[in-house]
Amino acid sequence: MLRYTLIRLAMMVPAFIGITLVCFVVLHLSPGDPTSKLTDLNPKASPTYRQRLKEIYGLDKPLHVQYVNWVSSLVRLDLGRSFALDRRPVLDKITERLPVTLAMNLVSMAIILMVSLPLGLFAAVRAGGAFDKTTTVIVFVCFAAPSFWLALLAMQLFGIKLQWLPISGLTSLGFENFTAWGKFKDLASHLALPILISSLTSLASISRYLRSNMIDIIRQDFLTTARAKGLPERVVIWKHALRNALIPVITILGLSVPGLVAGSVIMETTFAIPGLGLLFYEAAVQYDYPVVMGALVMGAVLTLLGNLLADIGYAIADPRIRDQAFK
Amino acid sequence: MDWPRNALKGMWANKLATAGAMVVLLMFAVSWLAPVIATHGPDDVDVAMRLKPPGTEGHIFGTDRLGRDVFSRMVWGSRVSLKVGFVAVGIATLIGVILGAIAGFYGGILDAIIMRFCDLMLCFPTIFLILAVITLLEPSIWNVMLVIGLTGWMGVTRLVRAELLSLRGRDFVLASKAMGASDLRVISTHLLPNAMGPVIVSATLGVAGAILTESALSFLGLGVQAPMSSWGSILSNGKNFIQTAWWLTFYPGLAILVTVLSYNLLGEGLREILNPHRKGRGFD
Repeated sequence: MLRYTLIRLAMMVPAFIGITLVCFVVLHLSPGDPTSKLTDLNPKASPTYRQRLKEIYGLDKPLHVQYVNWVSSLVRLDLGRSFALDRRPVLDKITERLPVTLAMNLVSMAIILMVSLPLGLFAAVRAGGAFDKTTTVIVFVCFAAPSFWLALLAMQLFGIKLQWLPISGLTSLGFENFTAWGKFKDLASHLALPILISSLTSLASISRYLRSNMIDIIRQDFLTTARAKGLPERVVIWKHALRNALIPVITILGLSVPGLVAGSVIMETTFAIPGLGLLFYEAAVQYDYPVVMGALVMGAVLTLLGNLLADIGYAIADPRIRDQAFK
Repeated sequence: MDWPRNALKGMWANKLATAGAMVVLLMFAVSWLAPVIATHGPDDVDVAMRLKPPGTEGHIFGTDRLGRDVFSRMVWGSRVSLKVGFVAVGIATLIGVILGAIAGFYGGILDAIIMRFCDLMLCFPTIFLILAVITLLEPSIWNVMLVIGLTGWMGVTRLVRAELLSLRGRDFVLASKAMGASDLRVISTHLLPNAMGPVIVSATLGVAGAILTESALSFLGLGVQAPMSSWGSILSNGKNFIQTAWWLTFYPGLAILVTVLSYNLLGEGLREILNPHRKGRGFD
């Protein structure tokens, strides 16, 4: 197991280099350089000022030199300074926003698992039945509904009509003076809608996936054997079949990380929650190029970590994987 | 070639897919006939009729903050969704088929390079990548199509590669090679037609995805720019009026939902029809 983990970790190095290359190429092959958006809008910017800006950010050097400089400061966790007025280090900006996004996505994932498992299972066990048909329809609708639209509808219903939940921000006024329980309640009420809505899409796809997976497993011989030796149907389904259906779900959870991270841009923007997604959006709109680069790398690294955890979880659950993987 | 007829037969058997196909056709008709169907000019400002609820004086879906007719704007906006969906998916499918064919047919180092690149691209949350590029390019409908297309080819590549890997050793391929067919000919006339089923399915589902992405980008203000309207941008304008004018957000969102749902149903139905082995995996 340790060997597997180590090899899998080593494989992340080329992937990381690849990620930085893609980020770099994407941002440098696009027409217009990062400082032009900053200076074109500013009538006071003289050609000398532009030149100086380019020198400050090293944009006058050849591309490969720029890349090496950027990556070498990246591994020292120096992401440069933001173009915004505060000129703060990009790393500080990202690390103060990251916990919110991470926490939201972890809770989302927990909800997705807790709901999609029983949903997919029941649908599979009685495939073609009324429950299966109803959930199929609901799942398809959830999958097709734009999340920002659902967010706006939920705001209208729970925030404005019923006045149950706040519709934007992370905390209420005077949050610092609340008791611990009050703080928790306040955070939960602010995050309830964004978390629930961002879970819906993945919930749909994972319960769907689990259903088709389970249908394949139910037809297999070892379940017939289990029934033949007289086990009750409950044990056959919940023990023998479920365990096997669960394994691929780990991978799917890992694969849904980029979707969740991407979804956080929309959710956080809509609900004005100060997380990584909102930071990224604000940076993109303000042409804050160092922050965009930093957040892009961070998003990809999060995905890479998600895949790593999924692979390790997969290897723990299925001994065949860790034995075969690196032969 | 009797699969089109079988496909049509299967289609009738699959009611949901047929319903999806109908709505897709209807959307085509609406965007083609936009000048006829729209009751008002999409950009006709009428200050006296600002923020009127649906049904007021012939405004079926009400009016927005400038008194423009929401229904007519949506009818014209359907052209944007359609265009973005098809152009973006066209780009993605073209790249995917070419890369997948190279990887699957030649294998070896080319395959390894293409597949690693594929894995890499899958690491990026799509919206992040798109936002980063849009930061540097001017936001416009063409850039949105291009970027969605350039970030959406990985699934098709994997599909085509897998199909070609399983086909390339078959006897009919060896036979045509023995007769002196060039690689290009073997790939384009013998291999790709056999791999088209999954590609069509993934393209249909891809259109749904592209429409969703475009509406999300326009919602964030990074897609279609004023005065052009798309469903996403109408929704985005309505965001500031959710307390008073629900119709500004409700109808465009519903249009996106119905359209995306139809493409998904059609795609799932096609999957059943084009791949009879998978019975019971989609909807039954």
